[in-house]
Amino acid sequence: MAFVGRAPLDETEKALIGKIGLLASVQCAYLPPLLAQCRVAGVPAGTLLYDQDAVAEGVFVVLAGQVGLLLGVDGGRRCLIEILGPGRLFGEGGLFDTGRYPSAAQAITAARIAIIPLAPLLAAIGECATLRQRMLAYLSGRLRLLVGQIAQLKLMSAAQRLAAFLLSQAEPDRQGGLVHLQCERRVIAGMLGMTPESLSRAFRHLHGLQVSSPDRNTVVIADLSRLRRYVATDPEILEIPPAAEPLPASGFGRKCATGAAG
Amino acid sequence: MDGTAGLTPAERLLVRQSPLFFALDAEDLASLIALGRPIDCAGPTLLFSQGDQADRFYVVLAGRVRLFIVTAQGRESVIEFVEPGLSFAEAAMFGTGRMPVNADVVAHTRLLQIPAAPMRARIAAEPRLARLMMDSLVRWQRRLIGRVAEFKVRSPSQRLAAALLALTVVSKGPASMHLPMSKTELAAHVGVTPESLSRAIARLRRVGVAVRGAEISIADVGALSRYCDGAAGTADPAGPPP
Repeated sequence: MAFVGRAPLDETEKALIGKIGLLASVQCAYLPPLLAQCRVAGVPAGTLLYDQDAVAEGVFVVLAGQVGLLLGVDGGRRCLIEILGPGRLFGEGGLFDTGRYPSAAQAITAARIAIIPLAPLLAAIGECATLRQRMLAYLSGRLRLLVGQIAQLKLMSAAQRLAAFLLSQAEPDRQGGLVHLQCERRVIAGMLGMTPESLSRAFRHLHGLQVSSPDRNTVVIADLSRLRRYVATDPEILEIPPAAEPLPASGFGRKCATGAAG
Repeated sequence: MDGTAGLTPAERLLVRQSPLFFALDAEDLASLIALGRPIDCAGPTLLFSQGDQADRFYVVLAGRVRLFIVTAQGRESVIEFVEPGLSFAEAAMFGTGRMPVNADVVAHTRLLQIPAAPMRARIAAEPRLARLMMDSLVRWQRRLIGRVAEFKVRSPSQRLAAALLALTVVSKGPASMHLPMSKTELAAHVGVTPESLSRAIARLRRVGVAVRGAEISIADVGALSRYCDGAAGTADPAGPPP
């Protein structure tokens, strides 16, 4: 595997991982030794954390930076499925069934990543009923999000999908919001299921909704609620609360990594 | 208890293919189905409201269920239609314990309703059973990730080409077939509006696809297959991995 966590977690990182939905307020004797076995590493942008169909060695948590999940498609190309920020768990698809990761994971920006190793995690799931239920909640929540993503791709226009993506990434500021795009527009286009040309058209379309882009990496949304109405939905339903995995309340900055990839 | 809970064999098969039960054997499945009961809604019925206690979950046996929220402006916004063979409310049941959305049915719908308490008890008492449900959910996750990628990478006309190729029995040369569904159903399957379907059909004419009513002919299956796999919207976030 390309990713090998080196250092054990420090106390701050342990506290942060303890707050992710899967583990938050789980009272079981198996948790402290599990956290003691977690490892953490900083990786440069572009690092392949694991490949699709690689034998799973654990689950991961983004501590800082952004990670992309990629699926190989025809002709050896890869399609970006999702961008994950701090506090997000990934790799859980490798824990069960075939024991292999269903997609690849790659650092989009420089990132700090923790790995929860497979064997002790599975042992804890086997012993702790609360953790079992949390894992079922997390996996069910993931399915709901994927179903929602498919519905968006099916039903929303390119401009609406872009608006939904920008809303999901925006840092609120009074009635507006600011988005720092940390990867190339070409990559964002792929993730939203459109060509770079369609993405440019979608951005132009959103100008009419007071969405502006002072430079290539920044997007300013002047009126968040107007944009929400445009995607015809309330903000919370764009991401039906997975319940199992809220972002930690504090501790992770959104702008943790610099230097867009590529 | 015979484990059928009043379900027909076909309905039990549907439940077995649902996301939570995919990897279970017949015996485990029967014991879980036996926890529940079928519910028939003859007409419009509210199943639960946002914020209700998530003390049960459902598998759709026939008809369909609408999951929706009510916006601050009082407008209903549909999140998802749940079709037969799919379950809902299980994430809330395992998770927060509160329903995050509203659910209702518009026309006749038959559901299997399974209460949360005995489900949770089985998961607490039987790690093996819980593991099988995790296997099931992960297998479904894999399937959905593939579907997401297909939508992102393929244009509507490529998705239509893929749907037509799935109906052919030959892998090269000419092929003709009878469309086993209505155009509206085909549009929903491909994930486009009926108008976009017409445009996609028109576009496929250039790659040798002729559609006359429900009769479809493909001049060269190999050429259509190559069209289907052509580039649309792929990208690596940081170039090729090191």
